[in-house]
Amino acid sequence: MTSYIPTLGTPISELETPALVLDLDALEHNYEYIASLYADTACKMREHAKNVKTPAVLRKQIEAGGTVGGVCAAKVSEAEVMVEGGITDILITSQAVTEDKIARICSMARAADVKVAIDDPRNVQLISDISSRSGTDVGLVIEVNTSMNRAGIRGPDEGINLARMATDLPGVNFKGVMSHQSITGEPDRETRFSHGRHWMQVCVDAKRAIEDAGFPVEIVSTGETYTIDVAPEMPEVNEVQGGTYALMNTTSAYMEEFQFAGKVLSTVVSRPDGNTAIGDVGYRALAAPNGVLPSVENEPGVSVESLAPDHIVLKSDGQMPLNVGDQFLLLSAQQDILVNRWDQFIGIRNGVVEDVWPILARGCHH
Amino acid sequence: MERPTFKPIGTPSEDLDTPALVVDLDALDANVRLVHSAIRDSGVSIRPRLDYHLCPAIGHIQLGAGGTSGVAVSTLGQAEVFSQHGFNDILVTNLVVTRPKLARAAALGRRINLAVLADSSHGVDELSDAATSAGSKLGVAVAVRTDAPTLGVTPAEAAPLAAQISGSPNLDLVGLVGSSNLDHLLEAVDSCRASGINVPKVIAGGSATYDSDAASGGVTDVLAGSYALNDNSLASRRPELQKAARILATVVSNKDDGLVWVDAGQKATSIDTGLPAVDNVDGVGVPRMSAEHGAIVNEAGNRWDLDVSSKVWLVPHDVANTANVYDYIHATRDGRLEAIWEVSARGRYN
Repeated sequence: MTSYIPTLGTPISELETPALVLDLDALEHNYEYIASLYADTACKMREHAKNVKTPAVLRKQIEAGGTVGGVCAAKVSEAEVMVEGGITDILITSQAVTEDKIARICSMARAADVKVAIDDPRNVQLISDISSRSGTDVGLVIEVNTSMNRAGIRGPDEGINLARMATDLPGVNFKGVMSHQSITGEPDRETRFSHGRHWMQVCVDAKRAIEDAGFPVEIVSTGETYTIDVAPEMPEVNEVQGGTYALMNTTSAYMEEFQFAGKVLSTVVSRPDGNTAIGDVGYRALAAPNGVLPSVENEPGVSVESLAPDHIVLKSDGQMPLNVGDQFLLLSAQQDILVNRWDQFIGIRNGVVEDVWPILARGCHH
Repeated sequence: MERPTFKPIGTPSEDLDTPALVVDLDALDANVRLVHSAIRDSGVSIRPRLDYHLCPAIGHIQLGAGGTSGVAVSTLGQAEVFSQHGFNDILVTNLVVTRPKLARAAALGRRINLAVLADSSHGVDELSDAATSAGSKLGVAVAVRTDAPTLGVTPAEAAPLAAQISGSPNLDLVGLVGSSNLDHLLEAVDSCRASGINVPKVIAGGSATYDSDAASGGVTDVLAGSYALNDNSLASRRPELQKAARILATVVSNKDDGLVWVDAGQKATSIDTGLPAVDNVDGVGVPRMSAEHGAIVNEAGNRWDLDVSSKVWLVPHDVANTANVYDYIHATRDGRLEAIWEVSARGRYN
């Protein structure tokens, strides 16, 4: 499973392809943008580890500032990688329902401030049983359903009941509420703001109902890249779960304040005709869920025609400017799925390799 | 990498940590025996495509079943991994054009019988130069393109390229490699032979057409991959094959009537070519997946009971793409864990 690790200082033109490269100037721009946006707001970033999956990269945002000092993790195993990587404040945004996974959370809770999303009373009872047996304290955050109809409580009464259990039972601590929305593809800023406020308000309403019932709510963790600038306008929201902004997607390119940092480097291996080029990367490495194709960077008139398992077909308006052996860069439409297919980021600055990071939580679906 | 809680050998399958890629050994053995026997009975060979599982242990089961003429993979990096696991006759169904890859191919060619594809005269020269300077031998097969435009040459261009390979220092002409359209490929073979070129092997086919490929009268090595583990894209076309690979998932949220969410989503299944299906439950489907979760719905209104922590078996749509996102395959027999295998060649795109 070991891939080739390039020597630091290698020019990008000499890299083995395909490769997942990280434009370090762009990444730092994105992280500094957040640090400055949230410098003086009550609302802070809790970057989602599901996107970059690499503690060394996530720590750069924490060091740059504007954060709660911790991250989100989508799965228990992803959280473990973050704790091992020195991050000590983790919110696991999925429910952990089996005894194995709950025991792993309790084990992590000895080394870090670990919180996990809940939406079911029996699950709270199980976490309390296992955690109190192991003498640990696990933070519980109630997931509130907003636009997704996925996990999450469907009304405030459910939330009050869960908050009561989380407060009264041993081995667990009630920490707050969280939600995740799906409001992509809204380039218009006003629409994005009105949708964002509308859905996040559902989470805020649950918070108010729980507080009115007598249970103090410490954390209101909601939002995503698309609502990064909406959340600070809602005074009760104190955490934003942003992920996409770090590397960026073509589907959110309308958020021009962020730059593309994650790219796939590929090489042309065949030129079947005058306006067609075949590159050495396909959907296995690129990931094209929901049929959305990647885009070619900085090659006007060249577009992605189709993807095969291990190859990409490029078309040009006129004569194809790319010849066999030429490299090109691809921008992803959904970079968290992309990153999960790769073992390492090759960090590039000024055209040479500056750092290489293993993507330690790649494959952490557990 | 993937970090399951490993369970002892003998653990019931449904007690495995989820999501898990689980392979039923009896189904795998039956699929491999059936397809290898059918191809052998036609008097030709099978060259299993190991990129459909990326797992050396499964590749050895395929070799052990007999009737093979080496194996195939889709990248040079995969060939390097399989060469470290005892595979010594490997066809890379890909072009090798960059300087570092040419050097790697030439180096590997010293240790095993390695073959790669070519589709240009310049490419053949580069392969010959690389093999000569490394003091190795490389097999080269002409990639024949059947449906324009992809990599490969047209049937009319095949004979000159084959002749060039035959005459190049340190290269051996393996033959021609094609994909699904056998007519184009066999036309290219005829034109080579009409030019007096010996074409040792005609390598083509697929799992969905393994029997007709074998009986085509022209193909010498049937290229097939998904027959071993099977998936939904193959199962409807080949009902004689069993669904050997499944993903075990756990229900993590149950908030709406007739809809639950499991802990396997896009990342744990790879949905680039299609969504998985729920195994063996009529009227229950997977209408959508988000990155970390999959929706399971009761389409037919039938009674079902999938509460939180219930297990669901999913059948992948595209098993090659699914295997690529797992580090381990849990091999089971009669519903109990028998072995844990590494997916050693996953992620080896270069």
